[in-house]
Amino acid sequence: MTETKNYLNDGSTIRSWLLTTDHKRIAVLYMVSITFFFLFGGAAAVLIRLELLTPEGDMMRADTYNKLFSLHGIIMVFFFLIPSIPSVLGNFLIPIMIGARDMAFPKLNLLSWYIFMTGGLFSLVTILVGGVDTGWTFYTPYSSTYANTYVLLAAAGIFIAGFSSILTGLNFIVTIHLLRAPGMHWFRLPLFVWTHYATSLIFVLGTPVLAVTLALLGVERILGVGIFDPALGGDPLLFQHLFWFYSHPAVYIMILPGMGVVSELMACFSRKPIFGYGFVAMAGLGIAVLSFLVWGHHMFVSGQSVYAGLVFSFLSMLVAIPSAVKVFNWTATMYKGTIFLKTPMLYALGFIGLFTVGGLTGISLATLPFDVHVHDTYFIVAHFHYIMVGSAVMAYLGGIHFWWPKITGRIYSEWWGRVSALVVFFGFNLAFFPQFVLGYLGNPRRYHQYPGEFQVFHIMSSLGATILGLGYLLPLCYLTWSLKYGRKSSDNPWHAKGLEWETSSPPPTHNFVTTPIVNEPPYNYGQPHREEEIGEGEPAKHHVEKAEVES
Amino acid sequence: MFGGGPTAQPAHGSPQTAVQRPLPDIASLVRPPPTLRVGEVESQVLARGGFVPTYGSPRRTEGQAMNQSIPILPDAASTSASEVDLLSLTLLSITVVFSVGIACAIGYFALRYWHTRDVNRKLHESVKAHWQIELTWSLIPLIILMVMFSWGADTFDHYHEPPENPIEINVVAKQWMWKIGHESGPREINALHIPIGRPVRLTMISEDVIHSFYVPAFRNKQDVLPGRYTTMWFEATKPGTYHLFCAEFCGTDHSRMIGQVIVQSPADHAAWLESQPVASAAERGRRLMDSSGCLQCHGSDGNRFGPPLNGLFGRQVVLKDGSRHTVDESYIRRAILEPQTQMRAGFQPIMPSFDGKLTPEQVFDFTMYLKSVADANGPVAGPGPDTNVREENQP
Amino acid sequence: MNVRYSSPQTVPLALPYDNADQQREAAVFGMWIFLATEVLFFGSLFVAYIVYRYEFPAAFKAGSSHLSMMSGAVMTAVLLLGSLLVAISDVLIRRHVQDSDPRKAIVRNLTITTFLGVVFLSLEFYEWGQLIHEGSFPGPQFNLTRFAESGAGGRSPEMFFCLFFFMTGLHAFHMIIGIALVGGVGIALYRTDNIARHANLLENIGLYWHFVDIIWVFLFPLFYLVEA
Repeated sequence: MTETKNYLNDGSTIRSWLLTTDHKRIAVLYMVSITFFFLFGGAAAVLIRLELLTPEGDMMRADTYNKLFSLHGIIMVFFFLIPSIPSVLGNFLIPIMIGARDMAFPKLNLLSWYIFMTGGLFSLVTILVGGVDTGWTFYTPYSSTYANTYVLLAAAGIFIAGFSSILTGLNFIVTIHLLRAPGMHWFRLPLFVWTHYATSLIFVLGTPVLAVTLALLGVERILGVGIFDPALGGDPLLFQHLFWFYSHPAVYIMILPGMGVVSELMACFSRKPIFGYGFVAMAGLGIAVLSFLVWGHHMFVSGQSVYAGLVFSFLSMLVAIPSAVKVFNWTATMYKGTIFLKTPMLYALGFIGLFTVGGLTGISLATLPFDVHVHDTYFIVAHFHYIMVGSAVMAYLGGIHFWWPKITGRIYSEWWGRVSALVVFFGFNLAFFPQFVLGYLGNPRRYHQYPGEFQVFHIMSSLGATILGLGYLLPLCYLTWSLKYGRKSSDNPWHAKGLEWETSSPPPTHNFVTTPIVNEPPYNYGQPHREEEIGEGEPAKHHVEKAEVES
Repeated sequence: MFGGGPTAQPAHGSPQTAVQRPLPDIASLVRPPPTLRVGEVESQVLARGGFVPTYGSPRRTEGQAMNQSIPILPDAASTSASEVDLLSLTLLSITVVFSVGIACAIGYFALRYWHTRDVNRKLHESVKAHWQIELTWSLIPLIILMVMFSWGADTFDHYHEPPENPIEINVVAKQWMWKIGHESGPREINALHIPIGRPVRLTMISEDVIHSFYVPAFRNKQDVLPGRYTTMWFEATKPGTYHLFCAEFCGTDHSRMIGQVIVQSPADHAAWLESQPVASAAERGRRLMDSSGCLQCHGSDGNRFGPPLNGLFGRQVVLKDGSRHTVDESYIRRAILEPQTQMRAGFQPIMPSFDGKLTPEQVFDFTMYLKSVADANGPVAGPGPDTNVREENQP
Repeated sequence: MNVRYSSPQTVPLALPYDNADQQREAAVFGMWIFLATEVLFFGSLFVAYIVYRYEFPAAFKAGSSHLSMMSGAVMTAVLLLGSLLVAISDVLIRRHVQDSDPRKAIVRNLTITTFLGVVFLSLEFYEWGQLIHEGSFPGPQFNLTRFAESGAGGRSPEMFFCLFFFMTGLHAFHMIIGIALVGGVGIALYRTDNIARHANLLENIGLYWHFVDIIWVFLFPLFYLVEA
């Protein structure tokens, strides 16, 4: 029996993959590459947590430890989290969700991947030749004048990868503006598309500032001039302002796409439109705009003026409002819905809970005296891991599980999926909740060794990290297994709404046989009622309103 | 970089001379690792019982019983600590209430509206009027946030209000140690003895990279920058020994750059001061004026090119470009190290720079001397040749 | 030769697009977004400039006086003329006037613009050479003694030249790319009969060129006109 033609079997040479301009294949390329980088960053984390089991620095030298946490941060932030949802799920889904045949600039899309890999190569080389120990924040004058590790190499890798982000964002914005199918008005777009639009605004406007900052750092290191070094007339705080002007919006790059994924999952597994769709869409844009106004909350004790501190604290409080609005709207979506706790839904619910904790600890940090006490301690580490790991990575995994049948045409084992989700949730909380306590007690971050009374919390944290790592390895195994042995998926195994589910799983190369015409609101699940199972690969019993076909 | 002086000065060269200009080639991109060199004064201080960081063993210190149980809160030992703890508890409560609330709502909805359950799922029309609901759950958090912001801002302001009549302490941070100087004279390494009941003000500077002076028990920290002063103050309330951490990553031994803050009763502190046989910072500063040649321009009658230094500290002065400045620690530091950026109106711009010739400790000593004569008008105080200070040319 | 020109619909249609207008709109929109990223790129440097000019006014005055205002003015004029010619070409390429041949005019304009761009870079490189020779390049060889009387403290004049070389250097890098693009499209137009095929390309390259020009219009007063 011949297999239907889809993007996966449309050409199977290496050349057809490496020179593809099909956004779906590019998404798969990204998926494989970032998994690879995730393993590197995860290995660094394993070593860090092993060292921290005991208070003394007895497993490795201080320099080695410093390099490990620096590389963990750089790889996880720039080579895993920032590209994860946008470059994998965004690239794959956005054209299909809006009813287009491809991105606006397919060749630019491929170029983005190559640029990303080049930047990643620089980072891998940095690890091989000896690493960098400045932390992913590269504060001067340590990084500009004092560090004798491979700062330039690491900065070059990030600089190059930044252009990948910029081009991806550019592609998304033009695509979403101009390539929507007939009838796909802005307020019929899935929230996944809305949040990626907001994320792209940050990509395009924030990343260049990081590029320039790293370039100036490079100039300072090579020429020995004093742009940021006070001994030569420079201002180390200028570096911090320029760095955080990008890096704060960057954290919203890491969370907004996750919010988009969660919106899709909540709607599908509650069988209801997202409550307050318009507000959630606008909240995403609001987050993107406000994210550019709060960078100084990383610098409350850095020596900036008291007034700056007050202003940034106030604005940081404001940015919490749209995030809260989203959380409330997601929860309200479940009200009078029809709930299925499939694997993606478990990840989505985990996201909501952990994001609430992470976000609320964030506003604790926006409260000035609290931050004065816990800045640069494990409290900060716990806060951002709740957002970046507990929320963003869980959203990524939830999205991968939800769209796995669409991307690969296979169904994974639901039992293993749920078990892994629970293992991840449990391991994550055990790993990072004790760090809140550690931080308030005063244990500073980036500490290779620590006073003995903190040990019990570090042991809990390392144990949790081990369980979390196991939780990540499980999907790697069963998802890969499903590629060959998993049941074949139907077009719409979840019986979900959205243009991506109107085409085959996997989709044909040009996404649709004929251009869809959209004439219904998003998440048009109709009146919720008691339902039978979904996700088994059976044909839908629920009546799906098909879009009209017109050539 | 550090010259000699009348008092014994650290004999170490800078481990990482930022002023050194390597040629722009590959070799310059790899510098030898900075090594911690301990000078003469520092070893004397260490010999007298200065703090040596140890890990893994619990702290046993004067008057403080070792805490066997698992700690959840650090000691609260400053006037601000309990306020911050109350603020933190409120924030924690908000976090718990909302997190648990959301989790319960999710749990309840998941159970009640489980897909096989036959319950009423008809939505009321009113529920579809979203904007009132949205407004409510936007405004309520906004109000809570504004309350927390105001409370926090108020406490933060308090942190930055200059205290009344504080004990002045100088902190010089360098990779990887804290060098502490009391205005009354004693110098310490990685340790700070202070009494309860009096505000203590730290004027801090780094010799190399950014560090951060962090005392969890006081709920206070401040980054220590190279090239300019940063200050912080606290008032201790409970005798004991507390952790001092460096809280800004500064290189290899960042996690070994730790120390102790030893809070003593006033009587104990006075006794400790007695046991430190050194001249006060102001005295050292006055002697520095002799040895550095300051009096040639700033002191004697008829031969004076520079502004008189008595009665200077705390005043407002006018610079050549017309701007007015208050003479504080930062002004003094710039005046000594970068005089050409801060020329006084009515004086010739001929003061040489002492950058590289004075240590940060010496600058502090000198500043303390100027503070001690801030209200003086007559002869120069303290040991040294007696001179008359004219009051002309004082803008 | 009596060549008829058809409408820009002869631009080959790429996969994602339904019609030529959509494709053109996407190309232009994409270029505008790219230019927005460039604004942020240069913008952060302008922020650094503002911070250090506020900090070291004397140094900036002194440093600026070492730059040749005449040379800078000529460079500005050269660039503006080039931009004008590109803009004219952009209008010409979409005109459908019977029996007229804008191709020669367009190619001529683009050639002149390329040439003017090279003139700009030559003047710039020449000035850099002069500055390097007199010890104004930041680094260990920077000649500070020239600034002893200027009232600029420490190494602040070096900061001025740091920003000068970095910002004009970054601009020159963009100019080189721009010259290659303008020259390239000029050659393509010279070789083709159907110039309308390249209408979108010329429009976008024109946008890029104008942008690089505008950056220079800001750089010129900030570096060359401080003392004035």
